[in-house]
Formats: sequence, C-alpha cells, structure tokens
Amino acid sequence: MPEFSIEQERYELFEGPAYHFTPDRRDFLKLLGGGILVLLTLEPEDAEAQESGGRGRGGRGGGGQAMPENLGAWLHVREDGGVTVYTGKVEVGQNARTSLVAGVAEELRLDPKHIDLIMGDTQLVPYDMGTFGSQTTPRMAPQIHKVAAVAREMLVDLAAQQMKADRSALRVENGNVVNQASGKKLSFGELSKGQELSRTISANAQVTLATEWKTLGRDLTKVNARDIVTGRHRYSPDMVRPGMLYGRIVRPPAYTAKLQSADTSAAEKMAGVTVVHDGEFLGVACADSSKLAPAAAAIKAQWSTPTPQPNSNDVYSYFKAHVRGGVQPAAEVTDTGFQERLLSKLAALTGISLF
Amino acid sequence: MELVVNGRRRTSSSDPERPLLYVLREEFDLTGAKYGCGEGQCGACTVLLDGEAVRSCRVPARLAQGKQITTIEGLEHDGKLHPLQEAFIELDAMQCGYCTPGMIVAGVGLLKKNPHPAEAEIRRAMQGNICRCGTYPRIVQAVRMAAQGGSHA
Repeated sequence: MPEFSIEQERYELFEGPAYHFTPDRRDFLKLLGGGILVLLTLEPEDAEAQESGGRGRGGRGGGGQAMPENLGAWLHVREDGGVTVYTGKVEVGQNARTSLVAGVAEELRLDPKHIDLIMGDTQLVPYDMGTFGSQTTPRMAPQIHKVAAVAREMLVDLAAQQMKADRSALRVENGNVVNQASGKKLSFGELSKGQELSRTISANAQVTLATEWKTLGRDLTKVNARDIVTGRHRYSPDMVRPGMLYGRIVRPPAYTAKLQSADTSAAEKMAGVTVVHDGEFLGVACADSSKLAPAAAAIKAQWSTPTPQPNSNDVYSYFKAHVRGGVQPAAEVTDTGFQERLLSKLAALTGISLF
Repeated sequence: MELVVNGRRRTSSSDPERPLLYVLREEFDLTGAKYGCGEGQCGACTVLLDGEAVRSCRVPARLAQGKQITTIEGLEHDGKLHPLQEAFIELDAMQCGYCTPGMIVAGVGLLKKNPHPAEAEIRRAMQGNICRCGTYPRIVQAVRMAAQGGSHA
C-alpha cells in the first residue's frame, strides 16, 4: 500500500505578491475623496511573522509622499464624517466584521453604524495573505485599533486648531469633538471636510486600555445582521458578472484515480452547455446553473482504479496496522505519563510539536 | 410563464421545468434563497408557495404558477421586519448567515400553520434545514421568541 503524502495547504504554496501598492498618498486621498487617511506600516519582523507580509520596494521615490511599504491596514475619515476601514481579512462566519468594527468604534468613540469595513476587495484593500489560523484578532485587530486611535487624535488636533482650544479640554464622543469648557462641538464631518491629511504610523501607536473600553467587551449586534435576515447580503455565489458562466467539475470517484477517457458528446449537445476537457481536468460550464448537474451526469468518464485505500469504515484498523513501532500494550494507556509520551510520539511521527 | 413573487407579477422566459430556485436567483436576481446542495437536503433554498415551505431547488417553476411565491426578500414590509427576522437579529441566531434566509422562511412557514409551536414541534419542522455553523439552539429560541411576541407570525 502506498505511503500517504500530506496535501499542501494553499498558504504553503505562497510565493509573495506579484505587485506592490505604490500610489502617491495624495493621489490616494483624491481617489478616496478627501478627508483624513491613516496608514499603518508593519515593522519588518512583524510583516515577516504575519500573513500581511508583502515586503518589497514600496514608494516611488517621491519624497515624503510616497506610499510606505508593508501596509497593514488603512482608515479613512470621509468628508461626510463617516469612517471607512480597509482590511484584507474576510468574514467567513467568525464575526470578524463585527469585532473589527467594534475596535474602530471604541477608538473613535463612534456608533458602529457610521463605520464601513471593506473586507477582502483586492482592488481596494491592503495586501493580506489570507484569513486563516485565528490570526484576525491577534494580528489585524491591533492594527485597526492603532489607525483608529491615531485618526481620533488627528481629529482632536484639528478641533484644537479650529476652536483655538487646548487639546486637554477636548473630548471625543458620538462623532463629535466636544470642548468640555465651552460646550462647543465640531462633528467629524466638519473637521474632515476639505482636508487632505494623511499620516503613516508604525506599530507602536497608543490604543485605549482595556480597562477603559466602552464598546469592546460588551454584546454588540452583528453589524450586518439586517442584511443577512433580509437576504440582501450578497455572498460570493450571489454575485453576477457580465458574461459569467457557472461551472461544475466532474470529479473522480476515488482519491488519485486518473481520467482515462471521457465521452462528452451528450453533454455537448445540451443547449448552452460548454464542456471543458483539458488533460485530466473535466468540467462543464453554463449560464444557467440548473443545467450543470444534468450536464455533468451526461458525461461518461472512465477512471483508473487506484490501489485500495482506507475508508471511514476501516481507517482505525489501517492506523493500527501501520503505526510505526507497533501498537503499545493497553496497560500503558492507563499510566500517568501516557499523554506526554503520546504527544512526543506524535511529534516524532509528524514533526509537529503539540506541547 | 407568469409568476407572482412577493406580491408582484413577473414574467419568466425560463423553461417551465427549470427549478424555481434558479428562476428566482438567476432570472429575477432574488439571491436571498441560497443554493446549498441542489438536492432538497439542506433547506437553504426554502421559499413559501401559498404559505407552505418548499425546497425551491426541487420544484419546477411551472408548479409555482398561480401561487403566491414568498421569498426572504418579501418578508419585510415598509421597512418593518417580520417578527422572526427581528428575533434572529436580537438573539444573533446566525454565524455566517448562509442558511439564515432558508431557516427564517421555514420558520415563518411553520408559524403560519402553528402560531405557538412547542419546542419539539419547532425541532421537527426545522430538521430539514441544515446549519453548518451549528447555531441550532438559538434558531429554536428565535422561533419561540417570534411565536411568543407573534400576533404577526
């Protein structure tokens, strides 16, 4: 029986981004439409340690206005006073959209309904390697906190200038900077209007202490819950692009089975159906996705029969028969050192330390 | 083919044998009903036909002619959500939310027939709706909440 090879995960095949963002920061703000922009650069070791990597030559040598490299996140206080945050992370049911918005709401002392989070739209967001490994909260959330905290302080600076007030008298609440002495207030929109301010910060920006949190650590309704319960939210299968076809892959009946021949004539005769047969790849495409299953079923494919493999019924006996060093006697399972020995055995077998 | 979807008369040029789900999603751009399995096993595609919850991926569109088709998009009236939609939000009865439209429509179908179902009746009526995230306990709670508050349900 053949040895099993471990399939590679997509992130293990990572090659590094093929391009780097190098727009001028002023151009960038013009594109977004004025206001205040805060960009966060990652420390090189941070960038290497996390999936938001994308190292390389950034900027285009335009003096201080060049875009920095290793951008982790950016935040835009729009001229209408709303806030848009951009991240390469995506929402897959882990509630990252809500938790990341909550961090921005906390730092900007702003109701989450005024915060838009653009996730994973690669035309708009900083480079990010992907959403996996429970990295959004430990890695991305602190970055988003920092850009939001710096944006808040920039708004306070602007308010201090415009009100000719001391910063220490100013307080940020509900989308306004309020002068506690005079009661005068300026909204985020009033402050950001006509501005083209941008600031690049590094990883050491000061964020609100957990003991002072007002939004975080409390229940918060999922920010796009209403879109989900009304069917308005568009998941990727709900999106339509011009000329788009739906596809279905014709799969082999067993792991490692090879395609030997395929009679696709019946499927090809079906109106609107395109058959794709390229080497070992076999599939059908059609603008009407209801035709995919019948079209795929109409293909008569011959596959090689692979060497017998364990299935879910006999996988345990397979393991017992193939464990390196043989099965330990049952008595050993009850002793106290069992767990440690099991873990070191697993580590020796797999190269992965579970300690 | 004439179809009445969410109270609106619409003309479909689809083959009458095309399952209703694809007519709704790909012809009328009503993507609230989801494609899950395409085999009537998961409930993501649930819509109401004259108030009865059906798996739209298995219902030829011709069978929906002359009936009131209600999709998730049709439960909100003048900005006011159905009590079950409200309950789903309040109890956060979803994670990724992909099964949610089908869950809510199935729950609305149940409440139409049985406005005050016992928990066992909810479980029985909803057992054909699958949630991969495993939010079942809150879904059952949401149906109960809507039933309790629910003269509209």
